Amino acid sequence: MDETANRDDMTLDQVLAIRRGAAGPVVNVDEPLVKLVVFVLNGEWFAFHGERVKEVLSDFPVYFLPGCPPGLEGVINVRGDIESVLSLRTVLRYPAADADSASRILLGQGAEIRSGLRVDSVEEVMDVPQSLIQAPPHTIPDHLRSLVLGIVAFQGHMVTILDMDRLLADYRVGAL
Amino acid sequence: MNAPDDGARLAVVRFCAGGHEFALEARCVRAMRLNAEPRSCRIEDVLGLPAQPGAARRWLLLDLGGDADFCLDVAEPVALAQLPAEDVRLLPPLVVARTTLPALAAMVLDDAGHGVLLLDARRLFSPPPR
Repeated sequence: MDETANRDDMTLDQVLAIRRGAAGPVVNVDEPLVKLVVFVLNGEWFAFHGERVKEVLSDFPVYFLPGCPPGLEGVINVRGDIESVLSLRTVLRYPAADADSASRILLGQGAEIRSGLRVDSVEEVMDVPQSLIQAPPHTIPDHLRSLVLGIVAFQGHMVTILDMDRLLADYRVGAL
Repeated sequence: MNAPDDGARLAVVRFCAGGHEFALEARCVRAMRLNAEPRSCRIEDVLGLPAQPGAARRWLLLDLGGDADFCLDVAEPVALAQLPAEDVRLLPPLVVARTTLPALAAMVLDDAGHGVLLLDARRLFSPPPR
């Protein structure tokens, strides 16, 4: 009998991984994975939990809505539904950027609110083991502290994971 | 049901303010005047928007449910229009929560990004003008 036959609790994925002689560290596939949508703002890397991002949109004409505070760019028509668009740069207190074709609008949902969020670019949608996510460091600026769920290393960058629920709820009440 | 019946239409009076297109329900507008009315208010002042210099003006006689007439001073072009009811959309929750435009109630936005902002005439003035 080979080594796989002696293990009672293995999954098919584990068996196949052994058969393929997968290189690199063994990942416990039973460990919870967290899906992240990774994006860039002002050269810094951020992410939202994947279940909070319904869609990534590009090239949507934004209708500027008068009477809205800074950060609320306007609205877009997504297949008949009118969605607001937040400039995440403005909301997170980064300088405004010139129009850039790489910018995308994440259609996010949290705290029973749906809204678009403009980011500079979308880099990756990935699954990371829960154990790789670290607690927020103490060096996070005060205005971001309540929004940060944790950080994770990815492609040589530290990715800051943001709380979509808190962000949208705080913006709704004017706390951002 | 969340969607209006097919073919249903909403009669509105469209006008401009601050470079944007707005509309009021036609049933709230009794008449349009070509000359300034004594008891009138500029729409830009009500909405907190800059007036467009040089724009021709019209005066909409509003029906606000009271005895006295009241006129809203708006910019051209002014037109009666029938909007397909199915095109009228609710405002997103963040806009509802953060807008400073009084009486903004709904909007129509086409795929090209052209919008018409629908105002609720009953909420334009608080308290109602006397």
